[in-house]
Amino acid sequence: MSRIYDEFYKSLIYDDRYLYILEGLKNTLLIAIGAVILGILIGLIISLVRDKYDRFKKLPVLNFICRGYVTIIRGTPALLQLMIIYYVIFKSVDVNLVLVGILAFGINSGAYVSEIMRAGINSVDVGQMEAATSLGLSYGKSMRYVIIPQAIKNILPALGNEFITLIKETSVAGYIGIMELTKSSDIIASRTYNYFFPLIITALIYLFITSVLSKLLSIFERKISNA
Amino acid sequence: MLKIEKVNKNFGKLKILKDINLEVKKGDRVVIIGPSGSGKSTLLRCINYLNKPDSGKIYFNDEIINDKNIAIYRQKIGMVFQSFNLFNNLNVIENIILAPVKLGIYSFDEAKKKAIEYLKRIDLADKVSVYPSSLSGGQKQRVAIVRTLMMKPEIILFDEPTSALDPEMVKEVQELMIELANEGMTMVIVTHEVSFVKRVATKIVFMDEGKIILEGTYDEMINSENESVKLFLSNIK
Ligand SMILES: Nc1ncnc2c1ncn2[C@@H]1O[C@H](COP(=O)(O)OP(=O)(O)OP(=O)(O)O)[C@@H](O)[C@H]1O
Ligand SMILES: [Mg+2]
Repeated sequence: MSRIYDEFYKSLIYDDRYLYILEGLKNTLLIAIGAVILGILIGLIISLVRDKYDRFKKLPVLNFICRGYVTIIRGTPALLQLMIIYYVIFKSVDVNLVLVGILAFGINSGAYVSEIMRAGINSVDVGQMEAATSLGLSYGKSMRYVIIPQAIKNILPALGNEFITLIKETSVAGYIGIMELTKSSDIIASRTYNYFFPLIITALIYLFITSVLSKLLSIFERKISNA
Repeated sequence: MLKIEKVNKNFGKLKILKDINLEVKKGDRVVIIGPSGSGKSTLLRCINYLNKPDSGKIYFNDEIINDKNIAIYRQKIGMVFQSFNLFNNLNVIENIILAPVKLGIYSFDEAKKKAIEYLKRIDLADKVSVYPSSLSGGQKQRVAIVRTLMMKPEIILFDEPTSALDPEMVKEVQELMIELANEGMTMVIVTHEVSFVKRVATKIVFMDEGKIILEGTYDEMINSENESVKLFLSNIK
């Protein structure tokens, strides 16, 4: 028993090592939140370009670019994308690592979010667009005031899941030296020569965050479907 | 007011409208009847370019409608759908004032005032902030008609406005339409309700297989010797 406590003490308390965990947690959350916001922005733009093309065959070049983007992002590993952005694009620039993480995971998430948004837009009854159009509202106004609000409502659960996925996916960010949650446990372990406690503790933190988010999401979903 | 000239519409290889010619004058109430699949909805939807005609011309007040000017004409050509299509994310008054405010027909305050006047008129003043999902079908359709009226349209197209309604609600919608007719609104109506046709139509158009087979008054239609017209009328009575 006292050995277990000893290990626990060495992993977290001694030398204020829990601060690594807090710093890692902060960065993990920062990257996930930043990335999901960026992802939603990118995803919204892509889904609008593609929707406009699907409906009117407008913007063929942009549509082609967007499709390429989605294909490339979804067809390659997130870690590789992160490495390309860091080692190739920001090679000789002095840049905040967390920002690189937000950028890389945001660009990654944008491709997935765009597909979620497209599904959301397509889930809105065609009569809604027809009614808006028949009143003389432009495509843009119809989307903004009628279609997108309904689409968002339909895809909120999927967007929430995307956020949960991102929290877990950012665990590879340590590879380029970002101090996120997984990396912080790795650092502690390399000091104590004991992997068990740091890894288990971070695993429990991930599990706690994702479970709480899932729970909130399902409560939220129930609220919406009742409204 | 509205002139349709040699309009053709295909879906893929299927010819849905074949050389349609039709004129609607101010104050006319043209009722389009015909078997299912004959192209009635498609014709209505071609008028405001929800379906773009493949060929032919549509004149609105002597101006040709095209891709560029259609948004302007859509404000003047109201449309009422079988499935109401109220905006699900907006409550009743927001549904009614969205387009007129965003398109600058009314200021927000004017639009609200006007909308409440209309809602009082159709006895739905107490539903101002209710969402479409809690309205009955008849209420939804009357709100949809008011939503169209708010745009000050010169003509309204109705595509089977009562056929998705429970029988007891058909009347409240038809009464509102007849009120509009009495006020001189120009209308094009697709409907199967024969008694309503008799009350409202100034001209009846019979369509079959993408063509207009017969145009005339109610009596002319009833007494027609055309086989498909007779068959159709005997089926819906
Ligand atoms: N978007 C579309 N794509 C392909 N075919 C279509 C489309 N819209 C309509 N059609 C076809 O065009 C034909 C005419 O349809 P339309 O809806 O105009 O008929 P209708 O006279 O209104 O019939 P109903 O009385 O059943 O409403 C039908 O055969 C229908 O299947
Ligand atoms: Mg129809």
